[in-house]
Amino acid sequence: MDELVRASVQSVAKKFSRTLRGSLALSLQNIWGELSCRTPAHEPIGPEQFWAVNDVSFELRRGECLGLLGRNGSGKSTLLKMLAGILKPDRGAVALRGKVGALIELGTGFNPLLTGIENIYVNAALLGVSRRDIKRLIEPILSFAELENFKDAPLQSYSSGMRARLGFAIAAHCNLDILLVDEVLAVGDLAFRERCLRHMRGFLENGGAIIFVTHDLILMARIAHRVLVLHQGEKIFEGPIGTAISKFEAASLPEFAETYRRDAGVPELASVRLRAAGGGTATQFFTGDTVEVVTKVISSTSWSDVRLQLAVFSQTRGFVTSFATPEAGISIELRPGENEITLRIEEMPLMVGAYFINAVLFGEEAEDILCRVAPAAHFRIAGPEPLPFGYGTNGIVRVSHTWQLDA
Amino acid sequence: MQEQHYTAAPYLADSRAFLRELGVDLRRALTLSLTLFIRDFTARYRRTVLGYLWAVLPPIAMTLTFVFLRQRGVLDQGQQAHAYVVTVLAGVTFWQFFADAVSQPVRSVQQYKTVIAKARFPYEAILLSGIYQVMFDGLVRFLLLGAAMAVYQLGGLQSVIPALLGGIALCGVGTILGVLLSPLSTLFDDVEKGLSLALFFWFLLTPSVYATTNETTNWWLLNPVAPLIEWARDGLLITEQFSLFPQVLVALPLAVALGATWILFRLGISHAIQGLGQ
Repeated sequence: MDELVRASVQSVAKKFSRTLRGSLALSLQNIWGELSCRTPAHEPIGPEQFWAVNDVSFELRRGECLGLLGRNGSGKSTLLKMLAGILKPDRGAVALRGKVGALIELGTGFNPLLTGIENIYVNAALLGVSRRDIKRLIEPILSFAELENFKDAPLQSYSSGMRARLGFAIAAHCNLDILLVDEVLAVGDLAFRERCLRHMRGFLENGGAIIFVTHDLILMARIAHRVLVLHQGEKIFEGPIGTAISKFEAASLPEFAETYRRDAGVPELASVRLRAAGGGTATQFFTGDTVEVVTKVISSTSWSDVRLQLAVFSQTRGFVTSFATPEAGISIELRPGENEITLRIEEMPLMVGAYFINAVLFGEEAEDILCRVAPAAHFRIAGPEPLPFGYGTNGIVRVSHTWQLDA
Repeated sequence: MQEQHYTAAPYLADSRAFLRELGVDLRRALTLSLTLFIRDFTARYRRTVLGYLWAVLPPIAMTLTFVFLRQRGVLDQGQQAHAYVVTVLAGVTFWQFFADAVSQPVRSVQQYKTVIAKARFPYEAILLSGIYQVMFDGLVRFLLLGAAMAVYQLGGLQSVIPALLGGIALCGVGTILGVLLSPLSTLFDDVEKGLSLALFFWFLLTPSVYATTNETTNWWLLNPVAPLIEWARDGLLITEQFSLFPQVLVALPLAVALGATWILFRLGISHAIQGLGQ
């Protein structure tokens, strides 16, 4: 293994069973395979089994943070557990250089009846720190977690945030080389999260390596140099954060559209499509493009005072913004047959990611929904890449702006 | 800088690397187990009023029950009252030592299963920590037994070695059984439930609160714990007739079996974790 490489993962795979009985049987089968010296890769996959992680490879170098993105059940935690040596791969190989600390759940092994200090001893010992070193680390750990005043209180009197702080503080002081972080910062408050981020950046600068799992894409963009996207156990992308988010969001598209129509006599939302200005239908754009959203409505009779609302959602970050015809002072008059209503966005402010549009057609009354389609259309913003660490715009929207320097 | 490799290949495919890893883990486990033992011991009585008294209450309660039964004429084996008290206390102490050794590995793995599923550490540490717990509880009970023997002027310093050897043999056999069951106990609750039931009937079928007659001796040999308890108790109370031979005889196979059990535990636990889920 190259001197700079901290982790090398070669085509690892892990299979699980969908049922409890099957899972127990699989464990027994693996134990038997171990006793009889049989490699599980040679076993065919059973009808109730699936690959939780399948054929995933990557490398992690010193000073690098690799983000892991994927929907729930995409195999992120299983992959981390294989890296931590908790689960044995069914195929492939993992090689790690240095001391590994897995933060799969902050405060693993904490005992609620013991005090903060007593729990530090146990938790740090589980991470492989000697008793003498723990004694030396007690004060820095308590100070990092800001729990000096609670050091002798039993852990059962701690809030979940305080426990998370203590758990992270212990791992942060255990002199690790590789840190595996699985969605553990979600518990702490904003100030603590910032301190953790600062610590992780310092850890990377000192030659450490991190594999970081979070559903918070903004947090991910602030720490990860590179992102690996998992979908149904397989690696679908590895590369820059912006494209990774876009791939991840595209893989997270809802499978079914929900359609509501008050009755057969009301106008119907036939389609919503997007196109570049002057071009044909498209689903992929860039920040700053001029984009037109064309809504086709079919009506059997004439209708007046109809309102159209188009709501834009980010695949992972939720509701972004909406457009409604009354805001522009437009009252829609529908003719029998096909009607097209076009929304023009002069300068697309959305940044890299996958988005969808929900369309609602209202009647005269405030809550009179005639027809609703959710989602009615999908589109992707493919670039440019967001630039974290103070080099450019990062986040979900890019607002048109200018800078002025008065020196 | 240390390197770790995890592959799909069976551990025994590279037995030298596996044994090396066991050695490294054992060194780490020795330190870690002490920390875990202190943690569990500290937490164990923290929410009790009687505290460490709970360590001696069960054997005292059981002995008093049998003394009461004997006084009421329900049990009468022709011994003098004071000899009966010590016989029962010795039998119960040795039995409880064995029963704890069987059930503690299962209890420890159950207690730590959420930790096992989320952290990689030498899992032997939880077994060792459990063994320390069994040893501590055993020590307290043996001190109680020693006090009773001193009061009734039975046995003497010469009783210590046979009692110690008997205790170690019982603890060894119990630990082997418990450690073998512990990976399975993470997968099937039947193991823990079945073990409690089995130990209850096993206790009734073991001459811990009663003595056997010559006619039944061979029958008791079907129960491998029975002779161990009888030898240990005889060694403690009837030192002039006692032979160390049986204990020495079981020591070697016991040591080999313990080593094999440790390897089986390591092979089993890494796959049993998978059954624990996320």
